[in-house]
Amino acid sequence: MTENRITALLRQDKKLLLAYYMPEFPVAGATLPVLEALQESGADIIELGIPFSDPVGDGPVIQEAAHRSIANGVSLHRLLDIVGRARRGEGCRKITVPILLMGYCNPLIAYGGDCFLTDATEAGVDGLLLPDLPPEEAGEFLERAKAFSMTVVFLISPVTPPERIEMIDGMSTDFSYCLAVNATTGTAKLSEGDTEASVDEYLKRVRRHTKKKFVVGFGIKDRERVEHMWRFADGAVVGTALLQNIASAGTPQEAARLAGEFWRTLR
Amino acid sequence: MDCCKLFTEWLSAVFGCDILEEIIKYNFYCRMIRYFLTIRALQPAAATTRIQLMSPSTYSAPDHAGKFGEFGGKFIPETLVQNAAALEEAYIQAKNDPKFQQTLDRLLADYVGRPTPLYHAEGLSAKCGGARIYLKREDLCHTGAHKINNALGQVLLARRMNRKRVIAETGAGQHGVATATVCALFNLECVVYMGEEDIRRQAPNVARMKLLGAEVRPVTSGSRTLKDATSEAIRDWMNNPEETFYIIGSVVGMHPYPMIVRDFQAVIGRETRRQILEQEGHLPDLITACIGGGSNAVGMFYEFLSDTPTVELVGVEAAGEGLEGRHAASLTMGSPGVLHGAMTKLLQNEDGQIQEAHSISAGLDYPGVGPEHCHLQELGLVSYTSATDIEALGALKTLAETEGIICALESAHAIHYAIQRASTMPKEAIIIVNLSGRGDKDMETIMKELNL
Repeated sequence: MTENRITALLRQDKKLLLAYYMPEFPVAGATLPVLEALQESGADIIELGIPFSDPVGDGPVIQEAAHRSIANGVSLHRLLDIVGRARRGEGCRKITVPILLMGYCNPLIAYGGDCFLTDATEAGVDGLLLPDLPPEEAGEFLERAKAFSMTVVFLISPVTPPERIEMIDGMSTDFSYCLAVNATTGTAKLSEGDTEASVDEYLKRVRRHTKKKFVVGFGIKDRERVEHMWRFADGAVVGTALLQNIASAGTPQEAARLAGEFWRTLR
Repeated sequence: MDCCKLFTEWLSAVFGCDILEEIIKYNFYCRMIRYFLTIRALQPAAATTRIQLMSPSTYSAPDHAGKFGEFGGKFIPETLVQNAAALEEAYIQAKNDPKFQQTLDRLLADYVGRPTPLYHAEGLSAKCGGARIYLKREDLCHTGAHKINNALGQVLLARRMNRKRVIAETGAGQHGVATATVCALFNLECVVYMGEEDIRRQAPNVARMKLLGAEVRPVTSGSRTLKDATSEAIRDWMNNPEETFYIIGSVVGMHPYPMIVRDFQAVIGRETRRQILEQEGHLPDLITACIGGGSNAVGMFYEFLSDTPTVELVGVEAAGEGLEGRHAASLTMGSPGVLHGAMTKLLQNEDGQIQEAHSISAGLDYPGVGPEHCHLQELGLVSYTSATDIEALGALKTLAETEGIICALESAHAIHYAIQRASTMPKEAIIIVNLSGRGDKDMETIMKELNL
């Protein structure tokens, strides 16, 4: 088995820029062109959303994107098929950037855990981030995923206590994902009493209690925020802002053009 | 039966008044009483039944991880982990604080109107021509349904945790009204999430919540019903972790909610057990309740779990237009999955997308169910069946005509099942139906469906 693309990438000493994209958003057929545009314009890791009918952790933008994605025919089977084509370069240039699937665990349960791991590995998926599968519930599945050399990422929030940060850092296989705010996705506002400085403090705290790398996401929408986050974290994730920038696209080509244009403003 | 009376009288003489309530708290005495009470029931029964009745209850759930067997748990994003942990800690402290229980008991008595009557429905029983049907009158609770038992318990927890803002989700509006009521009582800010479709179906309850000073926020995502209102309330809780208390309305969601709501609703079964023993001198043959999320049912069944199989427990889900059409029968037709933080049985398609439920009663219109019911179903302690929209309407009409009671469309599902079973049972058999709510809120639907 070749080395996991994420493990290889993390060995390089560079700050990462991660993209979160909901497949087939805003129109059917957009995924491959958008993946290509993101790769060309410098995304280091692409997180592909697994759309779910009831995304409790997401704000209005990603909720709407998930519903559009389902309406445009995305299921987990279809998503793995798309990733397989992206890796083989069918209908786009070969996608070599690491791909992480991110989504709620119910579609995986319906697919069947081991079936999913087999098919996802074969398709070329490198890792998983399942927000509603916290470390306490992940045990058995995590062991299975490790057997498939799959990267598994767990979340850290601003209210996660230090000992729990250490536990999460220990369970994440390659890196952890810090939520910049304790809120649903797309929320830029800080919690009451939080200031810019307290977010910096939080990320410094995470650094003190982690051995592995960590990235930060939620509410990051421009180059200034990305660079600010890079001072404290190993990478920054941009999701909601990317989806907002391509939401108006009427064709897959237009979605790809808008995605590329936006992404270049971040680097 | 005489043995029982003598025994309790003797105990009362030794320990002072209100003894029955006191002794039920102690398992040892409790089991002794059960032994005397079941002497009559035991006469025709086999030895194995005797052992079953004599053995202490082995049912204990959830475990420390919030699991009911393989169901339940905490399938929540990291953003909710601290909220759930703080809630669990506060609840365990409250549970062990006699003052908390005293305050709750006093309000349940003076404000809610408990104990609610256990009423022998002679007219309905005569019409069915079989078993004696008893109704546990939760419809007589303040605000018109069992929901207030839980809302009151949780608002006391909110006060204990110093939360100034309360949120809730609601389907039929009964839980929303109950929450708005207790918030008015304690002068707390209250926001109720309600699906746009339900706001249309349950206009009187929306007006009641507003009158009580609550803000009703329409939910326009997804199916615009209870499922989406629940998601929206969870998001609010996630975004306001410090000042907000989320009063969930049923035995659903992430641990510790299914346990907390069950414990607050278990007063229904505790009262019922005492009342039927007082009125009939022995336990009933069958107890039935309707199931949406399942809070009134588990509240009724919990106290009787150690009496199965002598006492048969049956939950009735909403079969909607029929099980081959649109329905809300998650236990009968669903498959395991994760929704709103718990592993439970769900109506979902092969891709794991949650399907829209359907029932004539907004309170049963939920594509999941409390995880404890899935566990009770697997253990075989409770069995589950379903009734259609038409059957529920028919039962509602029959009850109104024979007893002068207009029940909620939710409760009518259980009434239908009781009517079906009563005619097949002997005259000395006893059925108890949990009449979870009154039907005022459903008048618009009833008028339309029955051409009134």
